[in-house]
Amino acid sequence: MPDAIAPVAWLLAPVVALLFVALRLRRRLVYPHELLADRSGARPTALLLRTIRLYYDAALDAACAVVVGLAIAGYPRPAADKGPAVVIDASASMLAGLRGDRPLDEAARLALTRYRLDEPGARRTRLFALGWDPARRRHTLTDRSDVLEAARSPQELAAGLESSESFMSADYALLKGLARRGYGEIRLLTDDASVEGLGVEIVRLPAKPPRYLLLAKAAWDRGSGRSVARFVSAGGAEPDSLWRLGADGAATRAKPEDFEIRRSPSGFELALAIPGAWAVRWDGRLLPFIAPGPPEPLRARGTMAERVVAGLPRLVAGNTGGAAGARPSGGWTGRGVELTDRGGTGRPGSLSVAEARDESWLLPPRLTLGALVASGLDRRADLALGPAAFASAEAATPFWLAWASSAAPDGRAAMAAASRPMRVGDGYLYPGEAVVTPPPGEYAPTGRRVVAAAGSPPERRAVVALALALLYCLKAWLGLRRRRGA
Amino acid sequence: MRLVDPECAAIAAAFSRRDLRARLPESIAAKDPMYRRSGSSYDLKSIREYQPFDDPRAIDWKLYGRSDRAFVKEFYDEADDEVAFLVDSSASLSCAPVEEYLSFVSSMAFILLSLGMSVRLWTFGSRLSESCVAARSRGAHGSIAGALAAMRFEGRTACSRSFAQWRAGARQRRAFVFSDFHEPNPTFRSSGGLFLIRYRTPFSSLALPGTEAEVRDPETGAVVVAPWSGTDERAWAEAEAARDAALASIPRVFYRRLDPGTPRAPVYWDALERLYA
Repeated sequence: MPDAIAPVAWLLAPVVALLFVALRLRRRLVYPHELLADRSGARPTALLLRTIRLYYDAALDAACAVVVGLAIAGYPRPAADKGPAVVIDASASMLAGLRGDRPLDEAARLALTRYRLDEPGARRTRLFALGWDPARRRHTLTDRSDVLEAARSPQELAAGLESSESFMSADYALLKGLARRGYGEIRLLTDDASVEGLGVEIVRLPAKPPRYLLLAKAAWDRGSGRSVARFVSAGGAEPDSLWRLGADGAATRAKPEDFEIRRSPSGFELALAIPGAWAVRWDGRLLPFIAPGPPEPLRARGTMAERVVAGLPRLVAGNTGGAAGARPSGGWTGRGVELTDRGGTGRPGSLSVAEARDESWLLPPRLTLGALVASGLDRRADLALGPAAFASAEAATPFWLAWASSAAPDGRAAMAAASRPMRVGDGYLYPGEAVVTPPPGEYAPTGRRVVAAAGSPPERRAVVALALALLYCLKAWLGLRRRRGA
Repeated sequence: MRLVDPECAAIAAAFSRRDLRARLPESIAAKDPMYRRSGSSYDLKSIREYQPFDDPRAIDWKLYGRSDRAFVKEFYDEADDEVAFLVDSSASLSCAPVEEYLSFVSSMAFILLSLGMSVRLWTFGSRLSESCVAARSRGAHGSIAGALAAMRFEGRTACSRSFAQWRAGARQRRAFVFSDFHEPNPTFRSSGGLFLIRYRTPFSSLALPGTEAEVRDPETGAVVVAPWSGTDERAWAEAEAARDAALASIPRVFYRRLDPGTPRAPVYWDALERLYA
């Protein structure tokens, strides 16, 4: 509070000056005291009340000055008044290991035994889960205190969390919301060794050594006419079986003629005859993935674009090899790339081109006030091609890359169609054959450093605003009353 | 300074034209010996022979010794119709509009003198003045006016004590007390014929609403800071009303309060009505 003295004093100075002037300018009268003496008020409290009643305007100004001065000094102090909060990291890595020996089980044990406050008078510990909402595809911080209250053992708590959370990934930035909501003592139970707490107590759970099988790349191979998915593995993880996923999420065992498996130095490679949703099983876990189909041929719109497409005969022809009949019966939404003349920079599914030969070298003098300014290339085109570009054989590279990448299913279209995601192993399968799997960081340490900051408690500006509003309402009311002669 | 209101002569003339035979002032009746009643004054009316119905104690024994016949002396009754004016000259009256105050007193005296009554005027502050001014006719009003014009306002208000002093030695049966009655709990004991006229300035006409004022008491010199908000004004008005009610509730007392600027003719008339009631 001493730090508030200076701002309050500065703000009170003009109020005191006005009060002093008012006192100096008060009238002096000659009148018998006989009927006035009763109310002279010898007691200091009476004098104070009388002064406040007479100079209510100055008194209210002084009160406003005190409130504003305290606000400038940071009062009322942000206070955490909701008690402690225990946050459990509900990411996929928490489920690594055998049941009973997973980080989640240890977190449930700690939350139920060490950090749960049942003493009378103590504020109840709230349990939050830092997880991911598959329906909305966003990270969440959900209050799971009901699960904590209902659980009678760590196993029940872990089971309750498993049934309510998706265990995909976690966003530690959401912890700031807890402090803003008034939780003071925040503990994060996580197995992520890269997390550092800032105002958050990090309780590290024992993590398992990395053992994973991850999809490194999935693309359409023009040469073989198959969709190729490359996997990397660590810790000796091996695929047990391959499953074909239907549109309804049903898994059927893949036939031997539908795929080929080849070992690679970092894992293995699957060549799939049928593009679509697949899942590979390893260590009892199921990892879904999408095998992309052949991309659409390039399309052209505009003179320049047509010339470019005509110069790339194989792409224009859509040499898709044996993929003509390999398209799945439903749900495959692959689309090609359209080349356009100028405009549409950065538009998905479109690549705009411009010929640099047509560009002016200098900006119009009317725009530069006569200065000589180089105009540069057309910024409205994705690719500005000059004579050198046309002469190079590598000019086809960006077109080929755009074409090849268009083979992947359109994620946004799948998201728009997503209404009922289905859990498939470690990931979720969405209508439209989009698959979401936990990020690689959930399987192996990424080496990055993550700071989980608690943020700042609520600043209670509403209290200051409310106090000022009340004071000014009182001032207005008294002024109105005085004007009416009350 | 105009000491007599212009309407006073008309009021006196109008009041004298009323049928006052039944309640003529004794002083008017006393001018004609025919109407004068016998009484116990020292004014000899007649000497006649003793009759059997006379009181033997009324026999003039000196005449009996000289004439050897019993005679009795008859005297006129007491015919004192003088009205006492007790005029407050304390310092607090200086806060009131002095000219109006003195003009009212002078006008009242003028009316009474015009109606044939005599007026005897005392001033009082903390005590009753030892000297007084008397006027027995309308022509002698100048002495009253002169005394009022020469009056100096000083000292503290002690109307109760001054009235008691006057009452202890006065021969007049009727008295007018002109004051602001600014003293704690003023008390008056009257058997009738007491007129209290209060003249004061409302504090609300001096103080500005919503301010406070340093108020110096003209009698004590003390200074208090008086707030004057709506609450204070209401409290002051209640105290004033209580003071008025206390003075008006004294038995057999005619009480009027006069604020500056209020019409005074009705007060003159009411006082005369009460005087001749």
